[in-house]
Amino acid sequence: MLLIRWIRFMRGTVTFQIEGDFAERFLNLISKNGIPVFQTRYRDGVFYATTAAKSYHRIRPFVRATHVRVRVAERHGFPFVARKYFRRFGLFAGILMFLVCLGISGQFVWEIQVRGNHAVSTDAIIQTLQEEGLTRGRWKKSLNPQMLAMKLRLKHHEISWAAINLVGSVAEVEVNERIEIGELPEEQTPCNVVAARGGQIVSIQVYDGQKVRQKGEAVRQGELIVSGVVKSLAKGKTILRHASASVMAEYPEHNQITVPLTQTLKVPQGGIQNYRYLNLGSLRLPLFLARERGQEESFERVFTRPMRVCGIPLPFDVTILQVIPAEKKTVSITPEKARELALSQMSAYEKKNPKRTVVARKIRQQTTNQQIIFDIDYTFCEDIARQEPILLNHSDGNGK
Amino acid sequence: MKNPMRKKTEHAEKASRNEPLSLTGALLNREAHVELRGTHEALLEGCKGIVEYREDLIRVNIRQGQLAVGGRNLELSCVSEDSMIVRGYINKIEFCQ
Repeated sequence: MLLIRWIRFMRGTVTFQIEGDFAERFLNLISKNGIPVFQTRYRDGVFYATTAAKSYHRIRPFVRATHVRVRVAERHGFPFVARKYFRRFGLFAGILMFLVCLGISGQFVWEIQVRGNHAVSTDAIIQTLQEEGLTRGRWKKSLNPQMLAMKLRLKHHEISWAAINLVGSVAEVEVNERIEIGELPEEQTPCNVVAARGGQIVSIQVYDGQKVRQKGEAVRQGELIVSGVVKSLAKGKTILRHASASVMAEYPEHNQITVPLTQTLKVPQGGIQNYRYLNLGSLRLPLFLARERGQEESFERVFTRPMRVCGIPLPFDVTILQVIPAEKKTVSITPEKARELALSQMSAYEKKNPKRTVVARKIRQQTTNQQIIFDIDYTFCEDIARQEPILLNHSDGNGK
Repeated sequence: MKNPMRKKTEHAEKASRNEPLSLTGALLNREAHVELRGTHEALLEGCKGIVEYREDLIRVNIRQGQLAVGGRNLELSCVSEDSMIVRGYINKIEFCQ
């Protein structure tokens, strides 16, 4: 039925109304003479029938013969539309230009899609591809997808397999990342446990090796705590072990936090201005008439948005430069507020190293007219054990 | 005086009685052939012309007499020399002598 409708549209149809006493006879005559008649209906004493545009003039003899009155009610189809717009050359030229542009634009890459990446970010992959020549607006035939995929693999060690498929105007980058297996601990390598930093040992748990230092002793950075050289009393031999231990030690640390009571801040003012640019390949066309105003003190944000129509990406994007005028202001804060700020800075400092815990802290606060100072004496507790290999057969670099 | 039309009809009836049961008559357009698709479409073959056409009744000539299709909003979707498609709500098909 759709095909019939399409054929009728392309050939054009004329719907006419028939009035008279011998309408049935008229219909019989035209159907008997091979004139196609369809969608014949009777409404309010008038017959309506539709025929092909080319056959309409053939009904005239039968109109005269049957004494009916025939009047055109509607015209449909391509021949009538074409006749209507026949003199509008600009329209046809526009359609032609559109088709030509569509055909040409299909020869370029307008979108890069990356799939299958987890460890390597999409931006990093796109950046690498851009460096190698795969950019938006690049002519497809100038690209070598195999070479690009190989270069991508070489650049990113995490990528084990990569393929670039040029599908229409989209460059689909499919990657497969390798599963990294961490280095297996070399349990057999002889090593000592030394202090990673100075402190007082509060607990020591030896898993392997011979304990050299005891609980309560103070050690300096690099000092031996558990030795990997173990003397066997029974056999009188010396054996080398892969020493390991957990050595918890306390050490002091000092931190000073200063919060000025008067601060000079850049405060944003009202009147955000957006400057839009249309990006066509390497071209950047401003979409505004006014001159871009360069504020001395301002916040600026730049973001690029790909243009899409109903989810379909267009071959250009828009860059928006957002300028927020700002003003430098001297702001005074109350000592309470300054104290809050200092405490939050202190908390951030303590959380900086999650391996250590705060055993004790002593805070000395000094408030002057200009600033508030926090002097904090910490006592931290941390596992200071560090394995250091025992270098056997160590050469001095001269091959000796 | 004998009616020649009646004589012709009787002759046709006699001929059809003697004829073995087959579709040959319909295929050779000697008999009207009606196909119904539910209540909304009817294909009439072996028509000899439209006798009456109204919104609720279409009466056509056939070899054996007349065929009336009754219903509502009836329209002739397609008309050719010896067949037509009737669309609309069909509630009656009647053969008239």
